[in-house]
Amino acid sequence: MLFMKKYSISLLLSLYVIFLFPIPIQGIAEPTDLFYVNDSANVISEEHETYYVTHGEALNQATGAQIVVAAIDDLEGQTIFDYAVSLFRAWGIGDKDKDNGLLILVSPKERQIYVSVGYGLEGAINDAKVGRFIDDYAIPFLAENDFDTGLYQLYNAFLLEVYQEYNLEVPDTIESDIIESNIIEPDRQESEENTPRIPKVFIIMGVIILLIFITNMKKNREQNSYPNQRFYPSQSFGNRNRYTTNYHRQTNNHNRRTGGGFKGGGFKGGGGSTGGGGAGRSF
Amino acid sequence: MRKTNSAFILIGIFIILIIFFVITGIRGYNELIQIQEQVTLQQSNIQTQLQRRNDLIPNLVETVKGYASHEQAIFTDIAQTRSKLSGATSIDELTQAEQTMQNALNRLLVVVENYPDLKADKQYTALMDELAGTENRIQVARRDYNEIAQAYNSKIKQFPTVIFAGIMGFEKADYFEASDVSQNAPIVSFGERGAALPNFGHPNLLFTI
Repeated sequence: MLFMKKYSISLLLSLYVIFLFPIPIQGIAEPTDLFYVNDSANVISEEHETYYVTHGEALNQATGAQIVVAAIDDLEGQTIFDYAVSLFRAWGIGDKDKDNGLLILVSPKERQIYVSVGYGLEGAINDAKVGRFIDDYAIPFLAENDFDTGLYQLYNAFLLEVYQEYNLEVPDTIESDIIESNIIEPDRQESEENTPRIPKVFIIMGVIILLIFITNMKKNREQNSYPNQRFYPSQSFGNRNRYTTNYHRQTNNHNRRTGGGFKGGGFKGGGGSTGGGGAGRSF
Repeated sequence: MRKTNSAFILIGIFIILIIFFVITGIRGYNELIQIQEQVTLQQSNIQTQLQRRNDLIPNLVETVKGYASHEQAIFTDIAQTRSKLSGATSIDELTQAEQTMQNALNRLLVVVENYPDLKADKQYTALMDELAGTENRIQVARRDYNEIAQAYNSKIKQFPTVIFAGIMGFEKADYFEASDVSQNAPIVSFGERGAALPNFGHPNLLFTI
């Protein structure tokens, strides 16, 4: 009987642990630790990934504006417009008050590109301009399957535009003392971030359950076998204007490098939103 | 002596209860007012976007006329529908006029298919991007409205606000429902590269020019 009682306690603990880990709902991609680029479609070169992150953060520091590049492998049955808006709002691109975010989203599989613009930038970058930029800078390369160059050209066009909007110059070289320390092995980061989270969660859960059982058998309750992982449950925006509450807004900033929380911090969205402005093309 | 003591206690409890209900009532009322304001805000947001679309339409017609001047039928249709829209008073009239306008615009797009020079025109492309963007914004605005309307509607049904919500005149907010047409909108297959063309009244689609 005592044996049964021990098992029921560990069962309860296991259940508790199961519910502790939020199970990612199919929907949209999650932001990477590097935030400014998500290359789940694996079409962006390493050099350009670093480029997008360094310039992204520099722009963020200077103006609060955030430009994010995302090359997504699977739109999960959504239109690219829906996906872009959901992703934009879930990641909170741009400053919360200024809403000056911009998202370049490309789906190489569907052969579509969509650029979503936040409220704050709509004045400087209207829909017609977005369309024209895509036509002039991106389409020539995207049509030839050179996604990397197409994105790069388009990114620079928008980067320049945003800096001009704030009457600033695009920095030639970025002082990257702070920034470089945050960019640790982007390619390894890349492949880790893009594996689906579910298997890892179950593995961890399994390990925990196993350890719980083992420790119970040993009659040694002192071993707390929770891994030193911190995660941030999805933010709940108090502002109900954002229809991200219909989509699971998981911003799981797991730190995979070591246990014990972040070192130096990952980049995060400023909480900005979009009203649906922008333009897209198929290629 | 005992009787007066217990009387005092009862009165005390009674007063506390009243104070509690009043405070809860006030807080609930304030919350309802707040959410109602947000609902109104979202509603006006939708109106702004619709107005924006209406303002773009004459530009579109002019650009098309530049290339397809003899397609008089469709131009007249659109002009007539526009006047009907501005003249609409009731919600029903407005909805009907909207629907007619959407159909007319879709027909215009079909007409445009026959004029490749027009489709290549930069002015036309820019205008189309603007219109597509506006359609998208309308869709987003409607969804945002539905979401806040849902929050509002559940709030007025919740206890304890439900008690006074009806008395104070908090009415249920209507939802925007996608018409049957938009729900069955076909996804057009993609060929060569093309602009985002607005599929008026339908979810925004990218399809080839």
